[in-house]
Amino acid sequence: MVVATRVLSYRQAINEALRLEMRRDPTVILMGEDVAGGATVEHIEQEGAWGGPLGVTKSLVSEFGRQRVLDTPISEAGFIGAAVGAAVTGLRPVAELMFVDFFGVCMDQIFNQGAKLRYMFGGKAKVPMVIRTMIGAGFGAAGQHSGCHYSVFAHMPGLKAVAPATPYDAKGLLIAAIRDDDPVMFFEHKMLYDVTGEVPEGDYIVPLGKADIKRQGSDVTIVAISRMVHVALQAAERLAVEGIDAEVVDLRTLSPLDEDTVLSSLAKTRRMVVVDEDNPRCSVAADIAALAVDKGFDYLDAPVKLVTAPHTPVPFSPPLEQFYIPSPERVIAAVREIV
Amino acid sequence: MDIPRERLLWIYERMALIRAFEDRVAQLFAAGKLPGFVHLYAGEEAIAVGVCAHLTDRDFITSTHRGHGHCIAKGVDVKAMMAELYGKATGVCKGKGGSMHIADVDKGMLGANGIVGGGPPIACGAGLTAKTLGTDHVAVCFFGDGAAEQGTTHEAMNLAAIWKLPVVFVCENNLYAESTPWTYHCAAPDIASRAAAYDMPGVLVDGTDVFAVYEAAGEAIARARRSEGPTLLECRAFRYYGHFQGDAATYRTAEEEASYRQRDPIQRFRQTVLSQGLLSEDELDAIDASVKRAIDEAVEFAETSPYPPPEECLTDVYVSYPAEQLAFRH
Amino acid sequence: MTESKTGASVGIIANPAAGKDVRRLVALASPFDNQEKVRIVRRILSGLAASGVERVWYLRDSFGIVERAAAGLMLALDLRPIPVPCEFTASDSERAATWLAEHDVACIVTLGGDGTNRVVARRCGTLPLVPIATGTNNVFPFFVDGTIAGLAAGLLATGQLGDCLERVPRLEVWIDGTLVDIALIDVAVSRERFIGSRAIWDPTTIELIVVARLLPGVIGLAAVPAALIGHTDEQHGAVVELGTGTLQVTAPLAPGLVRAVTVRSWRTLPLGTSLRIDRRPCTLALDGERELHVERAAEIRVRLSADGPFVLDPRRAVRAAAQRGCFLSEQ
Repeated sequence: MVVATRVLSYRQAINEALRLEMRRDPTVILMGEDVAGGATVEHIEQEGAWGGPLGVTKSLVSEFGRQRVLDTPISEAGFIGAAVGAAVTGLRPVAELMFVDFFGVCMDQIFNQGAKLRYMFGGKAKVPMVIRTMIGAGFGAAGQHSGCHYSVFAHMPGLKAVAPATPYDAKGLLIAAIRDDDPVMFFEHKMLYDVTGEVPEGDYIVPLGKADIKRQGSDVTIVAISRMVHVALQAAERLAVEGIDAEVVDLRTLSPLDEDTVLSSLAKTRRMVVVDEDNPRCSVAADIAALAVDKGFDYLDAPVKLVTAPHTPVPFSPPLEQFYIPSPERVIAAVREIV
Repeated sequence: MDIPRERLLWIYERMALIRAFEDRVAQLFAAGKLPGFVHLYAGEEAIAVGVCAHLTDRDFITSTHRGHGHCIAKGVDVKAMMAELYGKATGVCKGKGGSMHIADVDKGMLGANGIVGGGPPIACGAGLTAKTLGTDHVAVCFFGDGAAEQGTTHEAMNLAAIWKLPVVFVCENNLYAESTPWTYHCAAPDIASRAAAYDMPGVLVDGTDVFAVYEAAGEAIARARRSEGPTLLECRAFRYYGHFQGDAATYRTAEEEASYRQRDPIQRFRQTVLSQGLLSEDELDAIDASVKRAIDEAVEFAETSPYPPPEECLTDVYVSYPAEQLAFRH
Repeated sequence: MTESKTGASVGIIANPAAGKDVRRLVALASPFDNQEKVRIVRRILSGLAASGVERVWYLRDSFGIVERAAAGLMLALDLRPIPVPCEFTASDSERAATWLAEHDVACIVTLGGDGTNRVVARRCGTLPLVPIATGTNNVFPFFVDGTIAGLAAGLLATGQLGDCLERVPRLEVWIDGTLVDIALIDVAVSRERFIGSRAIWDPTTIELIVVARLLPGVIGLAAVPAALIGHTDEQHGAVVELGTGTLQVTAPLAPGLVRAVTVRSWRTLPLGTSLRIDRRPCTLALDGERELHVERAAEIRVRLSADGPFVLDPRRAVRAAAQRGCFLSEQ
């Protein structure tokens, strides 16, 4: 069967995933601050105002109505908790936590309630909810709107964590996340919304827990997450000029982790650099390094190198922010150290 | 308000069962039979039972750390509950929740909650499900006077009000948040009147009188089923035990505790139905006897049940997840 | 202000539970929040101090309405809690009223509705009441600013008023020859089995309404006879029998709850007369709240008596005081 594809942006791909799932399953609802926007304002009641702060959920309200695209008050604990309750009782809510940095005001509902209910109830409950949230620096949004923080969630039993890097993956992973019966944290990098790529029409799934090799190579494995996949690919192109053939593994899902893909790539290249925009302590990057040392020690011909953000909050000033974000140059430097 | 005979019998049976369960748990805990710790509901029976008398298995409740009474009022099996408190494999949560997270979703009981103020947003979600699916189910959120000061409780009341969710907020004001008097921790120590801030009815109810709770809750639940929105009921009652079993409750005086007992919800119920000839002494005594048997059987069941095998630790975290990533690495 | 009697004492009973019952749910009553009671008491205290009262005895409550009201006020008032045990139930008001009636206190300022005043009136004897409306049904108390109520109570306490008091009638409930309770406004005979949440709002459960007075503009069951008979200044009450009949009366039975009730018969009830209640079992609602369930007592009588409480109307008192020049002084 030939499936038509078009070029869509990451933003459009996410919008399309939501639209298709809402059409397919009447129990899927969206909730969050300004996901439609302008609730009760007569002249935009139908079409909504913002469609999310960056327009990701734009026009969904026109098709599905205010009953299924719910603008919430700025009460993250209240509405994320409501999403938990709705999920346990029969809906498939997709809640939007506008910026991941806001987890501080609602973490109890995410990790003490949503993540643990099934376990504490002896398996009697299912919590099929998705929390979509924006991550990442590069927007000049500074300390409280720019973090990645997915490591925090990947650390927690009961949660799954997904961080797509391309429009294709964003759509397929979001559909998979919505259909998944566990609570899924879905991390959207705000600097990727305008990135475009081929996206098939209709629904398809990118399974959770499966990494993707975005570039085949033989000399070094670069494991990357979210926007860093693009940084890794740029680095790989430049390394290719120097005759270093890098393989780029896009983790896509942080929990569960596709250990097999990571380890088989390592077995092939025998060298590994991990590129992660999150802070380094107890991070996914550190976890990948531990995996390499634990289960891939015999493959390693060199130390595992981590290219991450520093152990600081995200700074505001443009040169500081650029310093903070891992760059292709730093990736290249790390690769050169071990190849 | 009229209460059919069968329901009067049910009310008495549930209140007696809660009391007997809690009194036995207190003994078992003191005897070192139960791991962890327990928060007992004795003295507050009229609230859970008066409210849950209006609910079916399709209605949901969220509970508190003091959740045994809510479970029993919602119809959760006491054998499975007792086994849960023992940490046994036959427990209602397979021994993974314990007293503080005891739950039975099949009965609409969305869990005791170890987090004070954890439940109110979840109750909103259950109400949102009913509203979205167009059913007439309701969600009742039990919370204590301590949780009345949590932001989640206020957020949830606001959310329920703006979305007109079928949620009834039932504040069980037992006068102390742990050891701190509500008169200290509450700036407007009339939790009921906080409802005004969320444009919902707020009612102060005598939580030691099951008839008062039954009537007010019936009205509030009917209102929710009619899609007229949420209600806040503040039910004042007393907990006979300390905050947790073993708490000497030095913050209360002996006179105070004695005064609670004079308004015992079960005795008040007995007095009313007997004086009105609605139920007979024999019927009530028979219920007492059957309740005692049920608790004896529950303890027997719990004690003779096996502990879960250690590997059980690794199940029920997710619906689907690679097993090897749940286990120890070595 | 003019010379006043020294050592004057006044009592305050502010019911913290008033204005919070189920009629917020089954009708459209407003919650009466305790912060507002604090502010009212603050104004009462100012009025009392200004009229020369020295001591205020107050009922303690769990919120500390009076303590909070006094905090920060620089008033030369000696505030003392009434030395009775507090259970934070309605019986607190009753014990406080009993104590005040037995001590040298000039009057009791009450904050509550008809229910609160009924409880106080049961025990206050001839001690006058200055009732301020903060309840659900407020037929008995006055909608008046606390400052005026405080001034009026203070003027009375300091002997600056002439005869401003009015003694109102009351309804007495006698069971087997014993006076068991009273009502200030109305007694209803209900088929309700249970006291339950106390308030009474469903007219289909009511058989009979007895009112102590015919008052204009009232809310509650007393609105039914008021609508039938109209307001009269004569000292008599009325009895209305509900049930099947051809006459419907539309009346506000609770705030925001206007219902048509079917009336079988009605008549006036002269002062000093009584009527027998025959229905068994029955629940008697006193001033809008179910209070007594009677299964099979030999005889229940409701008697309209002239022995109700003495009441000070704050507006009338202040007007009388002005006429006497109480507020004037030479510089």
